[in-house]
Amino acid sequence: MSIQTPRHIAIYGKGGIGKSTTTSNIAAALAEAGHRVIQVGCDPKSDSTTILRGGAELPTVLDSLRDRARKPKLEDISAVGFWGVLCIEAGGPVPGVGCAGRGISAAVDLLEELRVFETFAPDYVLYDVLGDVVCGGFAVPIRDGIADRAFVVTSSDFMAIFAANNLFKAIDKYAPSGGARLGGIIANSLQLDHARGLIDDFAHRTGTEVVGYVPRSVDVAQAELYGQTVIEAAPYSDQAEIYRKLARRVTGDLETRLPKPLNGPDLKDWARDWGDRIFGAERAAAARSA
Amino acid sequence: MGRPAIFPFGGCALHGALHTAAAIPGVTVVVHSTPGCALRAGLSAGGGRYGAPPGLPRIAATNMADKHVVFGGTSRLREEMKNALAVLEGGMLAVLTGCPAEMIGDDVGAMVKELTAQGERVVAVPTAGFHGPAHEGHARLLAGLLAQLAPAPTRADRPLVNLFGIAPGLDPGWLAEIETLSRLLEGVGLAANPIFGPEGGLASLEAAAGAALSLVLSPWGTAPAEVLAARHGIPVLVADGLPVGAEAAEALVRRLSDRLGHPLDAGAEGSLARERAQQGWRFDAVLERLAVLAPRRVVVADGSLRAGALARFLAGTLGWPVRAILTDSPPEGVRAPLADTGLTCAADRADLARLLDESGADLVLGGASAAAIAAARGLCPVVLGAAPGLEVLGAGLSGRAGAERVLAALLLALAPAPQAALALRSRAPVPPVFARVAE
Repeated sequence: MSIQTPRHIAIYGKGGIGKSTTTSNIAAALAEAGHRVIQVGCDPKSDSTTILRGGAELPTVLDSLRDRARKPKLEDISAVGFWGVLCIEAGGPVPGVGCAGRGISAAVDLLEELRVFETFAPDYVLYDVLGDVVCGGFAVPIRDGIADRAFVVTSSDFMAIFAANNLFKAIDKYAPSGGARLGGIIANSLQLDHARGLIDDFAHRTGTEVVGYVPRSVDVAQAELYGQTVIEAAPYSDQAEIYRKLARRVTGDLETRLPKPLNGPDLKDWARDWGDRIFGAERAAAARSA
Repeated sequence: MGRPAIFPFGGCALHGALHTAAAIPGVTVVVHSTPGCALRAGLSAGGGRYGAPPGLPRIAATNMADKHVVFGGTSRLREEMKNALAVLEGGMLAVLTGCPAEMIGDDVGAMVKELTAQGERVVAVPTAGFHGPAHEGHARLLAGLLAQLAPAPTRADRPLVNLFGIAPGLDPGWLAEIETLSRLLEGVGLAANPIFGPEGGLASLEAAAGAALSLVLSPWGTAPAEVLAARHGIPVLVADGLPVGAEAAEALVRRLSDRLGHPLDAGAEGSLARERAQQGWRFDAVLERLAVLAPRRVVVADGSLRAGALARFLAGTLGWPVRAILTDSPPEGVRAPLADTGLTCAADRADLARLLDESGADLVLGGASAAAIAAARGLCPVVLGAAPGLEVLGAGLSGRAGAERVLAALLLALAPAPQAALALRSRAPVPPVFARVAE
């Protein structure tokens, strides 16, 4: 299937939460279903698309910025991965030097300058954006004219929820002037009993919706060790099916929203309340087993 | 101020720092920033009314590009400093950082350390434009240089007094003020340490650490004086702005003399008495002419070096109601010495126009820019400043000569035009020879 105008989707989340794994599996599932897909890693670590291309070396967009004597070509800054997904890494400076936020902004500008989207004619462009929205540079993918919807990957850890709440604030800032609206929350690495309830409650409190639940799975760990997505490494697994369903959901006709982020004290009260509930549940379980 | 500046009075902190560095012989500047910050474009076009401030020499810059912002610009700076040192004969290299370099956190200190470890004379001062107005850049640069330089022994045989708070290239007549104050101090057995201009330089900058006292003439001199007080225990005397008139000049030298424990000798007393007499004689000749024109509601719109002092002089000498509007945005914490003049602050030209409308003034004294705004609003302007870019040639307001200059400007502005001049207002036929030239 080919749609005329590519749909740009930004996926955010705290570092280490499984954002790149989730994005890559969504990209693989979409490509497997016959769509043309570009995945743009917006992270100075440049490892967003690793499992789509078997860990091969990929010069970043910003590498080409270092030497502008020659205008780079699309093939210089991209690699074709699993099922034809076009993999691009924005890149950035080494830690502690320069400005990674400006790097994201410059990389997106350069992609437009190179007419990447017109040349490759994708159906979907997925932006995998580093961690928290710490400055304007990391908010570039959700500003006017780039992504039309954004998702946030979170676990039930408080700091991941905190980062999700910050993304909601950024969306609230940019959406009224044409920026992306929120597609929903992707609940990842679900393992503990309370995790689903906690994320559901956070979604309810912020007027948002959970669009997919991804349990922790050995299939994911194994596929990553092979440098592959689950769609490629274990295509018939339950986990692969979960990612396919998630891919259909994030690209389907869903209602995008303006989230209602919690303010600092409310978020802390909410977290403390959940701490009490989890501790109470554990104490009751301990009393039963005694 | 809660809105962007509309027609600002001066440039940003980097511009002020550049003017200041350019006025210290022996200091060579490298700007670590994007090309426009070093004013290359503006200067090659001769400067412009709303562009780069005119009057600065061409300045070396690292010319940061997008890739330096993303990946860091220290390698470019290292290269630029190395190249500058290769052609620099003596003196000191000062690295001034602009906004992008400071926003991305380039470790300029480490780059400078590499060179100082090899015995080179290099310092770095954070002077990004976002630190504030041009005068703030002056204060930051001078304080930064004084904080880093090793002190050198003074060769003065008299107590040395640092002059702080006069911003080169920004305050009209800055060099004239330094010259006048230096002569004033010399007359009472003290030696001024000017730092800026032909009598200043790197040696003067280094000698500042061995001075007997730092004289602060505007809020912008506070930071440099505090650096020397903290590093070398040099006492600070805060003056009430420039000493406009013989009385103010005498009061200042008496304060200095008391503070330094340096009693004035008979020669110094004689010199002060002569100044009083000279001024008195001249004032007697003209004050009556001003008195018949009075009272006028006066606003002095100028920088904090001149505005408060000028307002005090006018109020004290003429007895007219005078208000001061500061045009250099001094930080609130350092406005105390000026507070007795009932001052307000104008953040930009638009703000000054509004304040002049609200002031009810019919006479406005100030620099060329303030005078132009006053004239456009139907107020009587008295120009006491220099045209932009010509601050170095401007006349000073310090001492007896300064006061006489103020009264002369007032009379010129207020006195009715002579009949002969009025007669020439009508357009006389242009002689044929001039008409041909005009064509």
